[in-house]
Amino acid sequence: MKKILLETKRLTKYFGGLGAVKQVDFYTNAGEIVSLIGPNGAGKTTFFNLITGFLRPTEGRILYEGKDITRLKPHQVADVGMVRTFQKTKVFPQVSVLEGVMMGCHRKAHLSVWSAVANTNYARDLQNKVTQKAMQILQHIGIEQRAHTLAKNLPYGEQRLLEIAVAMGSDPELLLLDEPTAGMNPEETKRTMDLIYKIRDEGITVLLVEHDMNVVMGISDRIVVLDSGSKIAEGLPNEIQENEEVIKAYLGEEYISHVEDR
Amino acid sequence: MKTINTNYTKMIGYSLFTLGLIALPWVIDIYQLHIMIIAYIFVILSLSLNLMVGYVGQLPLCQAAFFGIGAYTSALLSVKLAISFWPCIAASFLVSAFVGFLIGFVTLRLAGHFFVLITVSFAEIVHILAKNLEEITGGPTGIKGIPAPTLPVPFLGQLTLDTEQGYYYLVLIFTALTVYLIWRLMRSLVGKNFVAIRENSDLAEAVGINTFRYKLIAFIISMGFSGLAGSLYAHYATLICPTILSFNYTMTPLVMVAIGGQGTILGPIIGALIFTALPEYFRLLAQYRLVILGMVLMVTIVVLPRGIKSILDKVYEKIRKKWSGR
Repeated sequence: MKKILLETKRLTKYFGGLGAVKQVDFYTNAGEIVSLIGPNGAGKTTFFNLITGFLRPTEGRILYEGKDITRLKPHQVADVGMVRTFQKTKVFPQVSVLEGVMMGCHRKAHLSVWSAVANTNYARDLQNKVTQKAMQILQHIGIEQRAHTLAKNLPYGEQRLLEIAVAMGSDPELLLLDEPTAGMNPEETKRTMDLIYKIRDEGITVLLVEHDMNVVMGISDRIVVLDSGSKIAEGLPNEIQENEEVIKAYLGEEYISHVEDR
Repeated sequence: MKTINTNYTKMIGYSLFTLGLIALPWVIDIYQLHIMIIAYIFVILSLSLNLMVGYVGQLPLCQAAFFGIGAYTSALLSVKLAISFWPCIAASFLVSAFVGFLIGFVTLRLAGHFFVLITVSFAEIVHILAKNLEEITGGPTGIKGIPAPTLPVPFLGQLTLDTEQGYYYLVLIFTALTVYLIWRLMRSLVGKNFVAIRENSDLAEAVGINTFRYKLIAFIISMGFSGLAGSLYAHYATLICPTILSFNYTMTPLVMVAIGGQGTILGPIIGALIFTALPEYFRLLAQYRLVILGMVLMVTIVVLPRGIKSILDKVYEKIRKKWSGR
């Protein structure tokens, strides 16, 4: 029996009259790579924002290891172990790469103002530990030579890797990546995919939102497809590839009839 | 070898600088000493504002109110209840910090522009209250006869710090303490959380930083130190009136921070020293003070967004390169 990590029940979000996410039942097993795909405007990012607390659902529930986390704020969601990245690259631009990852380590490195100001042994030890940990993560991801560069001066591809590094700083159990390979060249995409495998092999569950079909089909243990806010399919990559609903959603009805006519 | 040498130079530099500050009262005249005392008070105000503006990336426009709350707390306790200086200044810090907690708790959940609006409104309310609650605050004439601090000295009894020289050292110690504490805080992991909020609040939340909590902590500390500055001012001036609650005392530290260099420790210190000294020598322009400050602020934001500190950094970098080049 696999352990279910994250689960949503009839998760729904309306913006005014527009249903962005409708009645979505969803789950991830611990230790797998799940991809959430769907055409533009399918509600993938809204779904991400809902489960991480950046948006409040209109209806439905979100469970994490059986606990209800529907009403939690984003930092509380991070505290239970679910940490995300963003579709539009978000880094801490004006600080060094190393410092940025150190900022990401906050979840496991709380420090009170008193010990900070008094510069206690505990504060110093913690700071050293966090610095080491951040450096290790950078080595792991392969951008350690950039440790002292300002984040905003990194090339785009490395900024996206830095984003993952920052998220990894918080020791997530479930890592949510919103289009991690968007805008990357093939080589960078390959590097990112290898990284995602590596993260999964460390025992971290990964939930991907992705556009790039090559990435999704190659990497996912399971795929969930959204279209116009509703879940239209889920299954193994090869099942999804052959699913008519999915092809229709991506390519349109006409394309299918065109193919069938031939 | 090189690192030992630079460490050595640094240590000598710091010692000379400290000695210079200690020797200052013997070198300059009473009037200049007076300016230095006021400048130090503004250093504390600017550093506390900088905590919010430069590090957390929020813009509170209520520095005057908390400067005033600190000053009035000290004045009322010492004049009406005859409490001595040390409990008074502690109370000023705590009362300001507590009011900061209340205001911050309500406003820091709101988006940045609402926070700015509410803090500026709060400052105006405090200003009006101070003018009109005559039984407590003395109304427009304020509170007179605030006693100078006394210092218990072994074998000599009580030493009253009622001269510029004496007060200079008192303010110097408090300023040094403020600089040290804020420097420590900003170098720690807590300081990193502040900067994370400034850099990207959504990302900070996503990795588990409780942005509201850390904004509130920064605001409480910031307002506490503003109150401390107010208390130091009250016991120095011996007379306070509602003018110290005017927008002038919000605008001035803001200009000091912006011009000195926000988000640094040295920047606001430089800004405070320059902008206390300069206006004193251009007394004639006093009535245009706010106009000039406003214009200077606008020009700085366009021409020198990172302040004077950024020029110093560049110069320092050039000198260092030249030296190591040889």
